[in-house]
Amino acid sequence: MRVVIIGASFAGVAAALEVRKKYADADVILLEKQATLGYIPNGLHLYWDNKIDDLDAARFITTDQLKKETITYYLGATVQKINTTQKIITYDYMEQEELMAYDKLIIAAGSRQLSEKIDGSAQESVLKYKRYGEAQAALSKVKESQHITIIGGGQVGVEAAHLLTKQQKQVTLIESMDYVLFKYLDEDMIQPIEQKMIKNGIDLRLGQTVSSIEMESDQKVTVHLGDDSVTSDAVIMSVNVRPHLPFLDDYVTLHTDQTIAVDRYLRTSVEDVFAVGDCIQLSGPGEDMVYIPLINNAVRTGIVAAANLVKPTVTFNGSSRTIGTTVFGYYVASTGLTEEESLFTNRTVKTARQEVRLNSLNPSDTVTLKYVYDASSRVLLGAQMISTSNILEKINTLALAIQSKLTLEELKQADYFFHPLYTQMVSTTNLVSWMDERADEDES
Amino acid sequence: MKVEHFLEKNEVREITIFKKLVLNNGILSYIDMLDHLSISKASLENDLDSITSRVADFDTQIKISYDGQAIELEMSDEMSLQHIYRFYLSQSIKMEIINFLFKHHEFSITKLTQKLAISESSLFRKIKELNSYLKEFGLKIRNGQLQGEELQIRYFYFQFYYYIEDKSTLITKRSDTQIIQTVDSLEKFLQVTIVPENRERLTLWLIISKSRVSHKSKLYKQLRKQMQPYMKDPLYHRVHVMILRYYSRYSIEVDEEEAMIHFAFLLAFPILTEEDFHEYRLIRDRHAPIASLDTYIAETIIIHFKFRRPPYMLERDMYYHLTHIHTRLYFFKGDIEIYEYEEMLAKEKQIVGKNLVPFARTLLTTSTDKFLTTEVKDNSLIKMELLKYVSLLALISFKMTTVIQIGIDLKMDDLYKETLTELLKQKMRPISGIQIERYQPSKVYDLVLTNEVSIEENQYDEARVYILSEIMSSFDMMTIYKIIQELNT
Amino acid sequence: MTDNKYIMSIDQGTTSSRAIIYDKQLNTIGSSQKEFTQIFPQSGWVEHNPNEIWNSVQSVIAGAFIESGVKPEEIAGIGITNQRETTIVWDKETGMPIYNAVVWQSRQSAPIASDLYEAGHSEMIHEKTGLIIDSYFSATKIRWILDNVEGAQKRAENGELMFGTVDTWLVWKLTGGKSFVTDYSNASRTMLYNIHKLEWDQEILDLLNIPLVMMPEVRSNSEVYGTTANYHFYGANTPISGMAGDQQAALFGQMAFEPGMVKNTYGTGSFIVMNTGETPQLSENNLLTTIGYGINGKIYYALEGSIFVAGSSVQWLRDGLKMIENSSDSEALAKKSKNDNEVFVVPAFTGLGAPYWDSDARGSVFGLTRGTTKEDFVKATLQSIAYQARDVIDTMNKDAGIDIPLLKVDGGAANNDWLLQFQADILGTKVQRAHNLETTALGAAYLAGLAVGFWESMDEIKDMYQEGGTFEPQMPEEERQKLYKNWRLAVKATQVFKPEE
Repeated sequence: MRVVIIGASFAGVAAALEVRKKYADADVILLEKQATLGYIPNGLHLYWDNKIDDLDAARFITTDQLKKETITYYLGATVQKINTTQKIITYDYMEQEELMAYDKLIIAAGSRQLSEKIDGSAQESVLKYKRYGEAQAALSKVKESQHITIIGGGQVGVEAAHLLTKQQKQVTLIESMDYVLFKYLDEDMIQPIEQKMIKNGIDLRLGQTVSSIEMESDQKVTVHLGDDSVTSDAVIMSVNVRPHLPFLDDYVTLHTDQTIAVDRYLRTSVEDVFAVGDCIQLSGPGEDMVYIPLINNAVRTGIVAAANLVKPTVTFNGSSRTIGTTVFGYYVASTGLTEEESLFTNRTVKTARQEVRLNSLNPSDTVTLKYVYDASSRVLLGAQMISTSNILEKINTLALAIQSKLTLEELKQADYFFHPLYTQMVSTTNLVSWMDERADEDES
Repeated sequence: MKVEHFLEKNEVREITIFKKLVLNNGILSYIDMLDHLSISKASLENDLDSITSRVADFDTQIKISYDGQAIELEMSDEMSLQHIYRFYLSQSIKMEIINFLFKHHEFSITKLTQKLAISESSLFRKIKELNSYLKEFGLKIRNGQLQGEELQIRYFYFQFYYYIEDKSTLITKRSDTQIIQTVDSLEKFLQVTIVPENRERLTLWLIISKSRVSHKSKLYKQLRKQMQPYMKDPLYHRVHVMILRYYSRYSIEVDEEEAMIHFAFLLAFPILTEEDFHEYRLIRDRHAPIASLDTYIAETIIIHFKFRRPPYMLERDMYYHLTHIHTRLYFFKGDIEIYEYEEMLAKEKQIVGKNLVPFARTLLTTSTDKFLTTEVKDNSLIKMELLKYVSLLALISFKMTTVIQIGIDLKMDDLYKETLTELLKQKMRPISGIQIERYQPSKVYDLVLTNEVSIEENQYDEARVYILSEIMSSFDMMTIYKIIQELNT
Repeated sequence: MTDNKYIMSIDQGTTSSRAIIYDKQLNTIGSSQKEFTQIFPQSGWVEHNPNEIWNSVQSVIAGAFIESGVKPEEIAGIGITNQRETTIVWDKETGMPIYNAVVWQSRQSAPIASDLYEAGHSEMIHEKTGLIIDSYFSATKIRWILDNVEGAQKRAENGELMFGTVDTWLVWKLTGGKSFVTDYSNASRTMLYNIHKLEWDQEILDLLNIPLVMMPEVRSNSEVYGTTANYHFYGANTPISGMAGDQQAALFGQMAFEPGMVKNTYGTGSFIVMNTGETPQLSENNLLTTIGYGINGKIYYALEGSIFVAGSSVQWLRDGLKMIENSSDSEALAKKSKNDNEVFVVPAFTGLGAPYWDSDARGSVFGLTRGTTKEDFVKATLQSIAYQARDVIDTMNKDAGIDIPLLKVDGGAANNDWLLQFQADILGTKVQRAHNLETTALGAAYLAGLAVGFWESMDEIKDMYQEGGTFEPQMPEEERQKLYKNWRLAVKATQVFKPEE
C-alpha cells in the first residue's frame, strides 16, 4: 500500500508516523513544498524570545528521524494537480514534472497567511513568517526596522507585538474587532492585557480594517485604514490563515469557505482521499463545524486519518480550541466556548467569573477565571484564565472537563492534590462559590 | 423593471387574455377580445393555440375553449392568475439566465447555449434585453457575470427571488442549518425578535448572501460612500461585530463591507419589529441622512394633517414605515414593479382622495432633492416608493379619521321605511369610517339622510342633512360619498 | 452672518420640547412643540429618556422649519434654554447615556442629600454654591447614578463618562460630540459650582466623590459654543450661541438687566428671580443665590425664590372643587366679588416655602361668613398668589437691600388682569407684563443673537421691548398694610395647625 501525504508540517508528519506505526510494510511518502523540514510555524517568536539561538533550532522533526522510520520524503516538491479517478499526483520536483500513483492520499497541505482583500499584502516587503524561508527574510527586515505595524490581533499578532516591544521597537497593532484575542477571550477578560499594551506604548487600533498597503519611495510602508493611515518601517501580516488548494480536481467537494469537506473519519468526498489539519473544518466548541487552524488539531487529525486509512474505525471528536500563551507579563489560556461565541449556538449560557489565589502563602498571586456553562444542564462549555503566574497547564484540566461534559458540580468534586506552596485550600479549578470575593454571576 | 420583462411579447399577450377572461367571468367574445388586444384575428387564433398547447400540462385544472365566436376559460378552484403567471415565468429563458448566474456566478456562452438549448445569437439578444432592464439597478451582464455594486447585486437577486421567482423553492432547497442558525444568532446579537413573516425575508437574504460572500472582487465604491455617516451607528457596530465574529469561525476572509450590506438590508426591509426599530430609532446616530429625513418627513406629515398631538403609536408606526422608504431611496437603485403603477395609483387615489397623491409627490421630491440627491428620477424605485408614501398617508388618514355618524330618517310607511333603511345601510357598508343607523332623535349625527325637507328648523341640530332624490340611485350614492369625504377633511 | 434673517430658540422643558424661530423684530415666524414620555420608575421618581429628548428636539427643529418655510442656512444662531438641574451621564465614546435623565423633581437621591445635611455641610455648600442642600440639584443625582449603575464610578474616574444638564447634552449632540460645555446659569444649579471663584468646586466634588473629568467646561451665556454637525440641523452648520436655564433665560427675556429688577413667572408654581448685580448676595432666609447670566465678561447674580402653589390653586378650583369650568373664568368671578377681602386662602398644599419653610403646614381658609360667596372664594384664591409673591419679594428686598421699582411678569396666569392689578396693589409696586409672554424662549434668542451680532447690543434689544400692559398700584397704603398684615396672620394661624398623624 502506498500512502502519499501532501504536506510535511505537523498534520502530515503526525499522519506519516502513525501510518508507519500501524502498517509496517506500507510505502509512506511525504511531499513537501518547502525546501527544509519540520520548521515550527512562527518559530521566529522563539528566537525573538531568546529561547533558541538560531532559527534553525525551531524544528519539531528532522530528516534523520524520518529516515529512521523509513518514511520517504521529497522536499521542495510542489503538487500541481491530483487526479482522483486515476489516483495520480502530478508534482514539480527539481524543476521536473513528475507523476506519482497512490493507494491512499492524505491532504495535509496546511494553510498560509495571506490576504486577498488587502491590496498590496502579497508584496514581499509585507512580512509573513509562518514558514522557514519567510521567517528568515522577516528576521533581517525586522532587525533593521524601528516602527513596525502588525495587522491582526490574534494570538500571533499579540505575541509578535509583545516580543517586538521587548526589543524596543515601536509597534502599531491593528485589529478589526473591538478587542484583541477575541476568538479566545471575552471582552471583560482582556482588559488587563490591553491596558498593559497601551502602557507599553503600543499604538492599538481597534475596530479598524486595513484596506490597502502601499510601498513608499523611502523603503517605508503605509497601511491604509479607512480615512486614516499608518506609515512604518515594516508590516507584519498576522491575519487568519486559510488553506490554499489549487491542485484539487472537481471531485473533491469543498465548503463555501474553500476548506475540504470531510466526514467524521476525515474522509473526503472521494474514496481513499483524506484531508487533515488546516485544510478542513472541525466540530468546534459550539458543536458546529468551524475552522480552527491550531497545531494541536493538526496533529490529532493526522493521527485519526491514519487510523482510518483502510477501514473507518476512529472518529475525530472535535476541538475545544484550547490555547495558552504568554504576552505582556500575563499568562492567558482559553478552552471551549466563549460567552460571545455562544450567541452562535442554540444554547443559553451563564457565566461565572472569579479571582482565585494560587497558593496558601501570603501574599499569593491570583488567577482570574471565567467559566461559561449551559444554563440548564450546568455542563461546563468554556473557560478562560488570566494571571501573572504560569497557570497554563491548568487549562488542560478544564479542557478535559469540557470534553468529558462535566457539570459545575462535578468539577467541584474533582480530586486534586494539596500542597500549601502550590495550592490553596481549594484547588484553582475546583469552582466553588464561597472561595472567592469576586464571583459575579452574569445576568444573562 | 417589470415582471413582464421576463416574458416575450406573445407570452405577455397570452397572460393578458387570461386576465381579461378572468375579469369577465371566464367568457368573452372574439370581438371584445380583439378590441382589447388590438391584434388581428389570425394572431389571436395563434395565441389561443399556443395557450392550448401550454395548458395541456395542467390537465383538467385549466381548460380554454374557443370557436371563432367566443372564448371560454374554466379554472379549478385552486388555480389563480398568480399560478398562470408563475407558469409562464417558469418557462422564461431570461429567468433561467438569472437563475444560472445566481447559482454559478458566471457562465460561458457555450455552456449556457447548451443548457438552454438556444442559439448563440438568441442568447446574446436575451442578454441584451436583460441588460436594458438591469440598467436601472446599475447592473449588467458582461463577460458571463452579473456586474455592478455588490449591494445592488444582492438587492436585485432579493427582489427577483422574492417577487418573481418562486422564493419558497429556493428557501426550501438552500435553507440549511447554518442559515437557520444565523437567523437565530442575529436575534441574539442584536437582541431583537424576528417574527415569522420577517424571518422568511431574512432567510432569503442570507441564502443570497451566503452564495455571494466568497465571490471574488466585489465592488463597494458607492456603498462605502453611503456608509460614511454610519460608521458610529450603534446598530451598524453590532452588525459589524457579529459579521467579523461569524466569519472568523470559517476560513473566509470577510470584507468589512459585508457588514454594511447587511446593515442596509436590515433597515430597508421590515426585518426588525416596530418595537425593536423604535428602540433603535431612539439611539441611532443622527449624523446621517436617513434619520434626519425620517424626522423631517414625519413632521411634514404631522403639520399637513394639522395634528396637535398625533397618537403615540401612530407616530411610531409612521417612523417605522418611513425609515424603510428612505433607506431604500438612500441605498438602492431600481426596483421591480410588482404592482401596475398607474393602476395602483388610481386605486389609491380612490381610497385616499385626490389631494393626498400630490402631497405624496411633494414628500418624495423633498426626500430626493433635499436629502438624497438621487440622480435618476424616472425609475421603478421612485415609483414604488411613491406608492408607499401614498399608502402610508392613506393609513394615517384612516387611523385619524373620526367615525362619521350617519342617521337615516325616512318619512314613509313603516314597512317601506324599515326595508329601505336596511337596504341603504347595506349599500353603504363598504364605505369605511362611518357608523350608520336608523335616526334616533336623542342622538347627535354628523349626517342625516332623509327623503323630505323638514318643516321644523334645525330639527337635526348641527348635522348636515342630505335629501335623497331617489332612494338607492347611483346619483345619491355618489353625492353621499362626496359629502362623507368632505366631512372627513 | 448679518445676512441671516432669523434666530432659533430651543426650549427644552420638563414635559415638552419646543423650537421657535424669531425674526429681527421678534416676530414669531414658526414654532413647533413635541411632548415626550415621563418615566416614573417608583413613587417620587421622575425620569426622561435622554435620547427621546434628543429626538424630540430634532423633531421640533424640523417642525419649525417646515411650518415657517425658513431654511436652515437662514438661521444666524441657536439659543438653548432648558429644564434645569436634570442630570444626564453618558459614555464619551458611544454617546450612550448610562442611565435615564434624572429629572429635577425626582426624589431618588434625597437620602444622599440628607446625609450631606446631617454631616453638617450645609453652610459650606451655601457659602460656595449659593444653594440649600436638596436633591433637586444635580450633585446628588450624579452621585446616585454613579452608585446605581454598575461600574460607573470607575468609568467616570477613567474619564470615560460625561455629565451634563440638558443644555450640555443637547449642545454635545448638536455639535456631533465636539462641544462639551455648560453655562453659568446651569452650572450654578448643580450644587457643585463655586459661584464666587467661577469654577467646579473640588471640595464638594471630593465630598461626593465625583471626578472632575466628567464635568463640562463652563462658559458664558452668550457666545459661540460650537456649530451644528451635518444633518443635525438639516444641512446647515449653524452656531449655537446662547444658552441659559429656563428661569434665568426668562430673567434675560424680561430684560431685567439692572440690579433690583425682578421678574415673576406665574406658572403652576411661581418663579421669582431678582437681578442683584455683579456681587452675589447670600440670603439669610433660605432664598437661593444663583448666577443670573454672564455676558461680555461680566457676571450678574440673582436671588431666586419659588412658590409651590400658584396657577395650580386655580386648577384646584377647577378640578378639585369644580367651582369654575375654565381657569380663565376666575378673573370674571373675582371681579364680581363684592366682599371686603376678608377671606384668606392659604394654599399650603405641600407645605410653605420661602420665607416660612414649613413643610408640615397644610392649606387653610380663614374669614368665612354666612355671606361668603363662590366669587369671594375664587378671589381669595387668586389673591393668595399675589400675597405669596409679596412674601418672597419682601424677603429678597431684605436680603439684597435693594429697592424694587418694578415687577416684570410673564407666564400663563399673567394673562389675568385682575390678578396683576391686585399684585401691584398689594406690593405697592408697578407691575409690567411682557407683550410676548414666552420670555424664556425670547431670553435664549437674545443671548444667541447678541453673540453672533444679529443684534448689536443689549441696548438695541431694550429698545425692542414691548410691554403688554402696566398695572399701577391704586390701593390706599392703609388698606394695603391691613390686608397684608391679615395675610401674615392667616399664615401664622395655618402654621399652628399641625394635626396628629
